[in-house]
Formats: sequence, structure tokens, C-alpha cells
Amino acid sequence: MQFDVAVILDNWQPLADGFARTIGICTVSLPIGFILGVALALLRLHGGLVFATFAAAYVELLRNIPFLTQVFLLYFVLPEFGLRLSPLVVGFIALSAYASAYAAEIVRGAILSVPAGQTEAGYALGLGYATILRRILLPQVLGYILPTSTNLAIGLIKESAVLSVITVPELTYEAQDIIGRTFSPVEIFTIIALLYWGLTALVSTLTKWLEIHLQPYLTARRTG
Amino acid sequence: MTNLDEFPREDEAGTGIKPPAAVEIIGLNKWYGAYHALHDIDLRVVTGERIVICGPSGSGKSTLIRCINRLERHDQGSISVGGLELTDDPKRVQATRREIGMVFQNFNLFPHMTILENCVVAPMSVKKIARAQAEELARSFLARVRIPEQAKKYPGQLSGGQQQRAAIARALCMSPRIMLFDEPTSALDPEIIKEVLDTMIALANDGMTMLCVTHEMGFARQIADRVIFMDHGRIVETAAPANFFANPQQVRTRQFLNQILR
Repeated sequence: MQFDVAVILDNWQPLADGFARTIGICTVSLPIGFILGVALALLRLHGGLVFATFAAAYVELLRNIPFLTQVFLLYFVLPEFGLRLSPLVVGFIALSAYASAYAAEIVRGAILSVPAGQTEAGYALGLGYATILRRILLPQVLGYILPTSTNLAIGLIKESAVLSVITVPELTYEAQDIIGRTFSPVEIFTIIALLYWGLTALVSTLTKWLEIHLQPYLTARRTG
Repeated sequence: MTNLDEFPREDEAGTGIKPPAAVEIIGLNKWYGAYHALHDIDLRVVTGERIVICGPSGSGKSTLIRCINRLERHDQGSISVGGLELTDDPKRVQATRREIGMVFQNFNLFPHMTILENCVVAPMSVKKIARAQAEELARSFLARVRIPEQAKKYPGQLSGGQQQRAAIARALCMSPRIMLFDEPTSALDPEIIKEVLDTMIALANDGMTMLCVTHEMGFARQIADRVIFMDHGRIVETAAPANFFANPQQVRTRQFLNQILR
């Protein structure tokens, strides 16, 4: 077996483009997914029977169907109903929806794990639920969700490779394209594996940093 | 149902004019499913009165004071605070809560906010007081509970006694007319209890209307106008502390006092 570094160097441009698109797709989908996730969590907790059931059904549906199948449904089945979306749009929708379902459960669990006394203390002070949510619950929820959100972000980055099957020109798609031209799977798959690993490692490091710097109260110690 | 006759402070001068009620509870009943948590409670608390409520666990004493600021919803009867009856109307509930400060067994300080921030969040959000003014107010109350130097620390950095005093300061920042204490010293080490009780005694001496669920009988002797003993969701006995401890009328009260005073 040979490992020809020149193949990678010769094709750095499409690799860089693909990598940038992977990062871009994930950077947009993750926050959208989280905003939807918070909304879904609140619907499930306080939305009344109809909205809570809708939110629960949405989460169950998205978590229980393979991501690849969801992508196929959006890309191949929706056009049968007259809705034809470009691969990139399908990619954004599918990844955001995927992230929202997991984020909803992460956020819901986190809100429930803030002690009831926190909400009671807010009520006792005369605060309304919206203020309690914004000033008391969600800031504490951040502490609970950061570690689990790291898993979600990493999962999202990895699932984004699936979008190559519907020709979204992200890293895996570009890699397959290069291999098709150069017949060098060893070099190209190795380098994209390293790129994915580097990206997810960066995310882990970043969230660890956030855990410390967004939550000074968790690391503050008694000083007497 | 005879509780209303037992209030010694009312109408002592025989003028026929009742002092204004800070809290008026009439015919209060509450159930948790089939469990009858509060049974025909009548209680009238006048402004400036200090009430201590004691009783075994599960007797309904915490539930009773939590009904007063609507942390628990009552099923029957009426509760009026400052003449305003508590209903399901959220505006009324919030208006009532604004007049009532509450101190919890587990402090319930907001861990992600500094002590100062804990104290200013409600005055700024509910009363729309400017930050500078709210902070000034907060610092004055933190000085009053003798922890002015802890303002910039997080709750987790304080001892239990300091946290509870911070929680008292936080409640006082809303300038409540009534303070509810739900077992404020039960989570504290014995040697720390005194610093919290001293803070409560100072508050009582300033004329605050207080309802305290506590088993600190020394505290009850020192500041209470009335001691209420509850059991199985009923008010069993109400008396001035001197009578309550020296001459309890009910067998159940005597049993309870024998258990805790030794």
C-alpha cells in the first residue's frame, strides 16, 4: 500500500471547499435546531394537551427514523407532493430537524432538573413565569445542557456526511468526487477522517471552555 | 371551628373595632387527591403580629403558609391578604405575592447570580426600580442582615447561615408587609441557627408581620404573639407563648411539647 501525500495536496481546493461547507451547514443547523428545541421543550412542558402531544410526537418521529431515511423522504418523496427542494435546502432542513428533536429532550430534561424551589422562590418574589424562565431557569439549564449538547454537536457533524448521498457538496461528497477522478481512497478517506476528527475535537474543547467561562458560579469556591 | 374565638389580641379594648387584618383565612380546606391536608382552618393575623406555627411533620403547617402566597392552591374557603381575596386571577396572585416575602428551608437562592444580583432581580423586574437604586437598597439590607461583604459572591461560596440571611435580605428588598418563614433553620447546623434567629428577631422587633413555621421554641417564647399548634391538617391549639408552654390545653399539644422540649 502506498500513501501519496501529493494526491491530497493536489486536491486541497475541493477538500477545503467541502470542509468549509460541512462547517457552514452545521454552524447554521445547530443553533436553529436548538432554538426549535427550546420551543418544543416549552410546548411539551407548558403547551397544554394538544401542543404537548404535538411536540412529543414530533420528537418521537424524528428520533425513531434513521437520518438517512429522513433525508430520502425530504429529497425523493416530497417532490411527489409537488414540493421540490434543492439538496442544500434539504440538508439544512434535515439537520436542523434532527438537532431540534434531540435538543428538545436535552432542554426539557434540563428544565425539569432545576430544583422546584428555584421556580417557587421566583414566584414568591412576585416574578412571572416568563421572567423566571429567562432569568432563573434557562441560565441554570445552560449548565446542564452544555455537556450533552457537545454530544449533539458531534453527532450532527458526523450525520452531515449522510448529505453526500443527495449531492450536497460537503466534505464526504467532495472526497468521493476526488476519489472518482484519482482512484486514491486511502489518502482521501484518511484525510477527511482526520478533518472530521479535528472538527469534533475542536467542538469538545470549545464547549469545555464555555462550561468554565459561562458558568463562573460553578467553579467559584468558598474563600472564607 | 372555634378558632376565631381564641384570638386573644383582638378587640382587647372592647371597642368593637377590629384592627386591619394582614391575613384573613376563613374555612380553608385543601386536599392532595384523597388526602385532606388542611381542615377547616380559620386564622386572622393582624398587622405587626408575630405568629409561630409548630406541629409534627405532615401536620399541614408548611402547606398553610404556602397557601398564603399561592405556592399552593386552596380548594375551599377564602384567604385575604391586606383585604384582597386570593383568586385564580394571575394579577391578584402577583399583587399579593409582591406584598409577601418568603424564606425557605433550603434558602432557594439563585445559584448563578451573585448575592447582590439575587437581591435586585425582583425589585428591578417587578417594581421597575433602576439598577443603581436597587443595588443601594440591596446593600442596605445586606448590611442589616450583617453580610455586606458577601454582595459580590455566589451563593455556593457562602455558609448556610450566610445564605439564609442573604435569602432574608432578598425577600426584604421587595419591601414586603408580611414575611413567611418555612422552617428557616431546619437545614442549618446548630451553631449557625442562632445567627439566622437573631436576624429574624431583629426583624420582629422592627414591627414586621411574621408567620414562622419553626420548632425553635426559644424563638417562639421570645418574639411570638401567638403560637399555633397544628396536627393532621387542623389547628389544635392557639395561645400566647407563656400559656402555650406553661399550660397547654389539649392532650395532643402536651404530647408534642413533651417530645420536643427536653
